[in-house]
Amino acid sequence: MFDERLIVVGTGIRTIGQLTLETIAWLKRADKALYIVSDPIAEELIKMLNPAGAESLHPFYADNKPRLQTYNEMIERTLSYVRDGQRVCLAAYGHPGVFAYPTHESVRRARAEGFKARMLPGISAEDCLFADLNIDPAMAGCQTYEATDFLINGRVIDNTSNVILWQIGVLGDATFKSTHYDIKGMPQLLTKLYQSYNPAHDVYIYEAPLFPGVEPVVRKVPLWMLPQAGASAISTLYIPPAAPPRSDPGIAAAMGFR
Amino acid sequence: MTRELKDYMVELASNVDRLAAFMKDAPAALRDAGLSEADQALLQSGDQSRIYATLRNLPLPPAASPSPAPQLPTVVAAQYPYGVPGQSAAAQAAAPSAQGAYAMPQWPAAGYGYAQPSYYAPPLYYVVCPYSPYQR
Repeated sequence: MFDERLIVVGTGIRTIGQLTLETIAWLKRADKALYIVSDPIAEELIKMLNPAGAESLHPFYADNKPRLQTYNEMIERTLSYVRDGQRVCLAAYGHPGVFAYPTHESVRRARAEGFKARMLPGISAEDCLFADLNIDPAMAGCQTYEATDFLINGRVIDNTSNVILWQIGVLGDATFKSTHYDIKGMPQLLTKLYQSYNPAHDVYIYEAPLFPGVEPVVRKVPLWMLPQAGASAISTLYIPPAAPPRSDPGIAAAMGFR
Repeated sequence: MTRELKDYMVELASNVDRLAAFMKDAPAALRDAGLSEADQALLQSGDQSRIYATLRNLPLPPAASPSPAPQLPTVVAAQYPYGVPGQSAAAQAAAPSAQGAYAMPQWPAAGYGYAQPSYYAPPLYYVVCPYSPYQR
């Protein structure tokens, strides 16, 4: 019990209030506390909890460097410590298993090499969105896609359900930018969304707050104005249902619903 | 930025008593923590860009305008396509409904644009794309 060589944790989106006790304990206990966080408070806290073992993986990012290359370097650094016999805690912002490649891949590779590895859940931006926008994914259902993946991999939208598109602020850019992303895929995104939605359909730009006392960004714009909506690298697009569900009276009756 | 501000926020993240005191009476908790008046005002401003820039020792962006009222989505009619149970027809007619019959909106007044915030989270996800030059 609690003998993992690699433990992957999340710091939540707003570290103050969303960091679990278990995560704090693992960060403290580990020999190496590696972290990929954007919140300066999370970074400071990790350094305080584990002054000898804290190490940022952020230096692997570089302007215009392919993100996949960065992630592979992060994974290799993580596994190098595991192979050295150290107990490693890898912390990422949000939920470490939601839209996070290096965390999942580190666990997979560690297990493949025979090391005990585990991931703990954290609070993701989607969890914050459900709370801040007052949406229950069970009502009307919910489709979630990474925006670039949605565009280039032929994903199909059901416009009777809630739709969430992540990373619209880095749409079509597979590299890292420290200051500003060029959202070059926006025309293609709009063209695809127009197949399912009226251009006047209201959509929402959402950004979860990072600090206590800060209100979330919830910006309503008609779909056609999305390119002017000021999406940033941390923006998420929420699209409410545009049509009622297509109920099947036959199946409903067969199941005893009236 | 004062070191005290960062230390205090780190403590809020790890000490439930300090967090509870802050939630109960933020001005008093900040005074008791010995923060400067500037730091107290910053933490109570709700201005994420300025708090972030201060903590990162970046140039301060202009103060944000007050947050607009929340613009929450309405999915009522999509959840209850045949009407909200127990609600009269008149009440349902007055309630927000699913979108679909909108007139094309007018361009908003000048000043609608939003500046890019100065903070960011580096993406942790990449896309599996058969045409990506980064896939081997």
